[in-house]
Amino acid sequence: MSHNPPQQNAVSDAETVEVPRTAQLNVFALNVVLALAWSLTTGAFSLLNLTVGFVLAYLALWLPWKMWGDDTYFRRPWRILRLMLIFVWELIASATTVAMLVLTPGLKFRSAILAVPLDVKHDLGVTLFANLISLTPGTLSLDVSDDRGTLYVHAMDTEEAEAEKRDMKETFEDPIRKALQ
Amino acid sequence: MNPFSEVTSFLDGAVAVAVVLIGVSLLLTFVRLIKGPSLADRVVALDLLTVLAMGVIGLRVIATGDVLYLEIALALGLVAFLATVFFARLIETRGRELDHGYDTMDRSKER
Amino acid sequence: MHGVSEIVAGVLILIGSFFVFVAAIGILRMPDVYVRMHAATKAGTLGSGLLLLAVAVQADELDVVLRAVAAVLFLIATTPVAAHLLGRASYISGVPLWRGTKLDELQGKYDRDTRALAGRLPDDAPHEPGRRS
Repeated sequence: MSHNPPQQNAVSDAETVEVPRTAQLNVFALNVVLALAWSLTTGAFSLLNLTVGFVLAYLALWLPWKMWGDDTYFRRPWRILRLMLIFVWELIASATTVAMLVLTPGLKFRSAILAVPLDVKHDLGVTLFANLISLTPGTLSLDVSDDRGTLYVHAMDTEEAEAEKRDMKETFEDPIRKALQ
Repeated sequence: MNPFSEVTSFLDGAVAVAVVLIGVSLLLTFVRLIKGPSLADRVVALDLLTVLAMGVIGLRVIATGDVLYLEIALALGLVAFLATVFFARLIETRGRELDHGYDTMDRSKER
Repeated sequence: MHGVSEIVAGVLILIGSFFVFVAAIGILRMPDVYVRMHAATKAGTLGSGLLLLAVAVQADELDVVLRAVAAVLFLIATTPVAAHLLGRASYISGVPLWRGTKLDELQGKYDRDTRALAGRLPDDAPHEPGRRS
């Protein structure tokens, strides 16, 4: 199951090791200072104007920081935004699927409780995985085994149990593992 | 000619349609709340009732511009979430003693 | 400008109330708690979320927008958790699955007294629901 992650870890360690935590904080502080400066020069300290200043400072800082190499701070908001968009998209897709099953006359679906083996052992990873599963079409996570090895999922409409499990792992677990590294 | 002269009436129409739909939804959910048959069914219905109430509050804010209601929606959501958590706890610990309303299947011998 | 946001809000309201309605039909029509939970959590959350989003779209003040968005985020964050807790509790307390359930791999995995949950063993054969091993 989890025999190759060491190699992946080594690669990502090499990439992230030079980014000290304080560097990101400094960019943030600079960003806030510039936002304040913007409000000062435009002469309005409203929440809206501060936000505008923050966004402008963010964009203005992005370019030089990118040239110096470390733009983790600038990429993070986009990653978070992307994750949120995935969440919202999945919710829309799943609600549509459920709506179709609900509105079809007769009960022409077969449900099941599936045991999905987990490769992420990290608590946050398991939580994310379980919640994403709950928002995807036709699946609802029920519980995680005590050894964090198995996630039990209720599927509303199953055709092929094993294929469904593989699908879940491929669409969510790999991205989550990469995002958490 | 203002191309958006009927706009306000479109929004009002949408709100009217939504009020009817949510009203019927509340009734249907109440039927499930009464029918059960298990306590878990009723809790699911109760949870949906509060979610529906949050939607009604959203409509109310749009229709009247009464912004204060939004805070009530947030508080209602919080209370409903906590209620569901505690109901889940109750069902988990005492569920076997409580009446499920089902007699088709006996799981008590299962291991 | 104002007209456009009102049209968008109107469309959001229509779609939102449709999904809320579907959730209510689902909770009445679906055969067991677990499937009913699918309808209530997914369609219900999306429906009410869209209605609150409509508030954010047609509002004029920033704080109204923020409050409405906060309500939507709260809804999205809490419903999967609530559904998980309720699903787990229903299963432990023995609420039965409907007869269209073709596979129950959770069967027999809970320790009856401690409620500890075992993982899936490699040599586990899938159980037929309703049949005891």
